[in-house]
Amino acid sequence: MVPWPIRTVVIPPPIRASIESHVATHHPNEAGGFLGCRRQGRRLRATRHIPIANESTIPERRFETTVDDRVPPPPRVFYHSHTSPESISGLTRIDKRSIPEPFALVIFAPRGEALSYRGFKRGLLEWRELRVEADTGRRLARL
Amino acid sequence: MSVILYGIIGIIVTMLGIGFYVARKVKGDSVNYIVAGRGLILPLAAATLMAQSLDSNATLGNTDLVASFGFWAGAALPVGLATCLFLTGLFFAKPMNRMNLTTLPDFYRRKYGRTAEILASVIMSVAYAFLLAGNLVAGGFLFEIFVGTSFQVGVFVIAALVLAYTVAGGLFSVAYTDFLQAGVALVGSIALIIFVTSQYGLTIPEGMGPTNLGQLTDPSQGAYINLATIVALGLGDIVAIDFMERVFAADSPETARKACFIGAAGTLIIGIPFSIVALSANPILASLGVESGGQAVLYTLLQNAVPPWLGALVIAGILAASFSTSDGAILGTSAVIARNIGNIRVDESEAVATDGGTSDDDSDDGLLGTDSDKLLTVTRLMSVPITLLGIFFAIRVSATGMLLVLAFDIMLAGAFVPLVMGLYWPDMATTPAALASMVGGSLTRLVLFVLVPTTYAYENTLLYIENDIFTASFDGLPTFIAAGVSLVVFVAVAYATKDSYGVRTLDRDGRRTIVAGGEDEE
Repeated sequence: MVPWPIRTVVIPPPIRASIESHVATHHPNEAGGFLGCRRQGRRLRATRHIPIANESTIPERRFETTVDDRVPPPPRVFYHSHTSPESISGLTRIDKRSIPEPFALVIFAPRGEALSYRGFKRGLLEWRELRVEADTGRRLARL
Repeated sequence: MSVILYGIIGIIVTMLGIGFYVARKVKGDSVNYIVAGRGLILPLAAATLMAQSLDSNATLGNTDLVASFGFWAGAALPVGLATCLFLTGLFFAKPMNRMNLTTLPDFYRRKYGRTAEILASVIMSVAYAFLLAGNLVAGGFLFEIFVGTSFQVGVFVIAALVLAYTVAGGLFSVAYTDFLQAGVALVGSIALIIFVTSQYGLTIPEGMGPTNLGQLTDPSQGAYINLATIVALGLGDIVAIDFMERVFAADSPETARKACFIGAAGTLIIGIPFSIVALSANPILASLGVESGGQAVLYTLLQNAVPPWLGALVIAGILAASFSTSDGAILGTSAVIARNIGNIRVDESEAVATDGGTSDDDSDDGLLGTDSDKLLTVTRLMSVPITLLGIFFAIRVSATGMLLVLAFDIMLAGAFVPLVMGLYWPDMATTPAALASMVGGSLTRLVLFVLVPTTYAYENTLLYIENDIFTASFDGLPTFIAAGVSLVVFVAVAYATKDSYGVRTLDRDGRRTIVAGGEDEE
């Protein structure tokens, strides 16, 4: 089977609810974790949600952690929330530099409520945006 | 049967006995098989590093080069290997042991991602196929001369014997047999120099001795080649999969470091006496009225100038050196192919997560999936084609020696800079920099290979494009140029991509750290 590049991340409603609850609970601190996934053709379908504690000393502006045995095996997606209204909804410069994962999801939640989901794949030279869908095929909100 | 034949049979039977006896320790566990359960104590770790560094090149090749071109031409081999172990102990053993790696390309995966891991694995595997072939060639000739088989039968027999105990016990069998092999080589080397010195005295032909430093400074005396040998082995072997496998297998970072230092000392203690004896070989043979002809000068010396028991001991030591490097090459290469190219990582439950599954590609399961512990089985299975490839090269490719040095040059040009920068300049070590450096350095070395008529004084009979720019006097310089290109490309691309691409940061234990944030720093 040819491993065509992933173009879409699918997040079923129960997992989205779990993520949004995690983000809201920790607001205004940034929240993050991983989505364990199963590959379906050119899609990554989230099958479980693993929240990870934020170890940053400035948790309202940063999310920091270590990739260790809490993290699910690949394929997986790292997600974190942007909680400041001044933040952008996509990857910041520090995100691009310091997320050493092939897939990243940014959840823009300036008031604790998730307003936007944006997925990204790390390419050889730059990040490329992915489509983020519910399992109905509907694209999730993107700002 | 001659005493030498008894010696050969004795060392083989003992090695097989030890190899199969300790094979029980594997217990079906791939970590036991590949890195001896990460539990090698200092004597074993040091002996296995020492035995791995000493191969037929550092013994037989060493003596032939010294007899023909002078002390430094041959001594460059053990000196380069010892330098490598010393530098590894000084700068790499502790941090690399701490990272809980299983194979060296694991580092490239964690730091630079899957593409870099595969590229490094391919470079290293090709180099090690030639290392295996070179040692099988030496063993084949040894069998032809001292056992009376044909060269081809000798190659097959040695390959089969090494494969048998390596497949059975992995690094446990390799390490325990290495302990014996290093001991035999050490005793043989010291006994040889004591005997030759006391019986014949040391006769150093004019301009050939170690004090003639022109061999290291004057290009007309082969200085470029001698220095290139020291640099290619001293730095290029730092990215040797078999050395690093032993560093990972040591029971602690401190053990890994000390083992490297002891291994370096042992390499010199065993290797240099061969160089010194070789200086006197031609005068001794001349005094006995013997000519070596096309045969290795050391073999002629052992057949004609030393008592049979000493000949048996030294031959056993050379055979042991050949075995010990071949088994490490088979084990290291098969593990790299199974784990890093095949992407089978079921040996450590944590490692799957810790490695990060970085995949620049999107494959998740590798060739055989990750649903059961397949790493041990596949590594064992991979040993067979690797050995067959080594046999094929040994029998069919006449220029294994040249391919071997070329392969190690490519390791230096392709894999060394990313390793050093990844460890010691981590904030600048981006994936594009590593990939560009690996490709740029390797290609430069290959291009220079086809443009220069000789490689380490071997005539390039494989692929030479005639030209008037690069003559044989250029030989040796490609080693430095290619490594320099690798460094310059790395630095240039690192600066160009550090902001746009970023780096993968590893903590002290080699785990990746994630820093994300909604607000960039001002």
